[in-house]
This record gives sequence, structure tokens and C-alpha cells, in this order.
Amino acid sequence: MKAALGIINWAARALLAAVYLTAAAAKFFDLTAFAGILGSYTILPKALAGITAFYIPTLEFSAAMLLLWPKHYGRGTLLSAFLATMFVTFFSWMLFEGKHVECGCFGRLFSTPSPVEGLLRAAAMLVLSGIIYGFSIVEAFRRADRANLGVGYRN
Amino acid sequence: MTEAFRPSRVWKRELFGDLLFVWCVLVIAALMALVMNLIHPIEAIKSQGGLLDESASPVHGLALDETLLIFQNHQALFVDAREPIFFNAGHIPGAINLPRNASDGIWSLFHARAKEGKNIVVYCSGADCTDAFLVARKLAKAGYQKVAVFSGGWEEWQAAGLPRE
Repeated sequence: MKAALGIINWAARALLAAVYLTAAAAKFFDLTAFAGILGSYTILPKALAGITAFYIPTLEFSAAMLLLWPKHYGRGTLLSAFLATMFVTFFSWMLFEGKHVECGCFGRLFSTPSPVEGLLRAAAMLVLSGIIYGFSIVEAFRRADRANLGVGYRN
Repeated sequence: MTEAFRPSRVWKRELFGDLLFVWCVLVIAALMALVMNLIHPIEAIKSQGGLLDESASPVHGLALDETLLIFQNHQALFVDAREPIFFNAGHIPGAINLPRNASDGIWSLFHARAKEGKNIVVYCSGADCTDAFLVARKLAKAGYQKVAVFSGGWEEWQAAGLPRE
């Protein structure tokens, strides 16, 4: 049971990390196009589009790296949850405004023509982040348990 | 149960540490983005200053009804100034994709297809996007004289339930 949960934990982290890595790489590959897309929305002042165009893929890359790092994956899931919440808010706003424009989430690699599709994907990422964070908390309990038995505790 | 073994304490300590770490990542990434933009400003931002000022453009803006009339009477060649990925997801029937950063090869293809003296209507994603004006001005500079921009863009076209390809 414990081994199976470990495999599920790893698979979920690898999946989430792959999504973030792909998204970050696609955006870094053409930052100008992504800045143009961000600038076309009315959420941000146009002057901030360039900074945000670099900021978002940097966070996605950081989240992917942390998710793959066994010691810090709990932190990676929190960062992932932050990003997913941001995306959920963004797609909800698009639906509310009735906008049907491409988000540029995966640069030129994949298209997200429907905000509903984007919203579902972001919501799934948020749920997955929550599940993985649950795993990290369980591990923290185990570490505390071991520490109580004198086996050792990292903190 | 000892103090160190209280689940609520373990959970809170982990969460606090993790939130602090994530906060640091957010701040560091923001600083990196700021510095990167100072060192190497992204082209789209640099170019937006004067170019986005519609009043400075000789390009005529079209409303939806005017655009529709032109479309129905086949009076113009439609140019979609969005990135290919957006164009492929849907566009005005018969439109040619000519993004702002199109390569020379794509421009050559366009010149071959665009007939001398024919009206050209350029559009991008919506009223807030600027690529249509940028491409329209490039076309005007390249010698095309009858260039107009459909101001509402793809968003307005779609919202009106007009045909798409």
C-alpha cells in the first residue's frame, strides 16, 4: 500500500512537472509573442506585460524543478497551487467577459481555443497540487513520528 | 503524546515553512523578471509606445457592419495578424495569416497572393490588440494603399456568430 502510494505520488509530481516544464519552455522560446498576448488583455497595464511574460514561465519552471526535488516537492505543490489558482481566476474572468481568445499557455505548441477547456485544465492542476501536498504532509507526520521514536528528524 | 508529536503542530510548522519558501520564490522571480526586462526589454513592449497610437496611423478603422459588407461582396483580401496557432484555431473564411513577426518567406507568399490595388482588411484578436495596426502599417509601407483595420477583430466577429473557417 505504501509503495503504491509512493508510485502515485511520483507519477502525479512527474505529470504536473511535465506540464509546467512544457509551458515554461514554450513561453521562453517566444517571449515576445507571449508578451503580445498578455498585452492584448485588459487585465494588466501594457507596461507590465513584458515583466509578466518573463515572470510566469520563471514561476512555472521553478514549480517544475521543486516538484521533481524530493526534499522540496511540498513547496513545489504550493507554488503550483498558486499558479493554478491564478489560471483558474484568469479563465473564469474570460468566461465571465465572454472572451474567446487564445491564452498562449503553451506558446505555439498547443492551442487552448476554449476558456472552458483552460478552466478545466487549471482546476485539475489545482486538485492535483492539493493531493500531492497531502502526500507531503503525510510524509512530514512520518518524519515527526520517526523523530519521536528517536530515529531522527531533519528539523 | 509529546509536544513534538502533535499533528496540528507538525502540520502548521510544515505549512508555515512552505509558505515562506514559496513567498521567497515569488519575490525572487519577480526581481529576476524586472532585471531581465531592464537588461533585455521584450520587443513587444518597446515597440508599443507610439505605434499603438491609432491617431498616428494613416490606416482606416472599420466597424463590424462595414467589414461584413466588404466580406459579403468579396471586396477585400482579409489578413489575420494573429499568431499561427490562433489563426489555425479559427479565422475569417479566406483570410491569410500574416503575423506581426512574419518571416520574409511568408511576406513573399503574401505578395504573390495579394493583387495590386485590391483592398486589404487586417484584423487581430480584438479591440484591445494592436497587431492589426502594426501589420497594416507594414503593408502601407510596402506599397499597399487600400489597407484598413477591422477594429473589433476576431472577438467581435465570433461574438456576432459570423462564419468561420
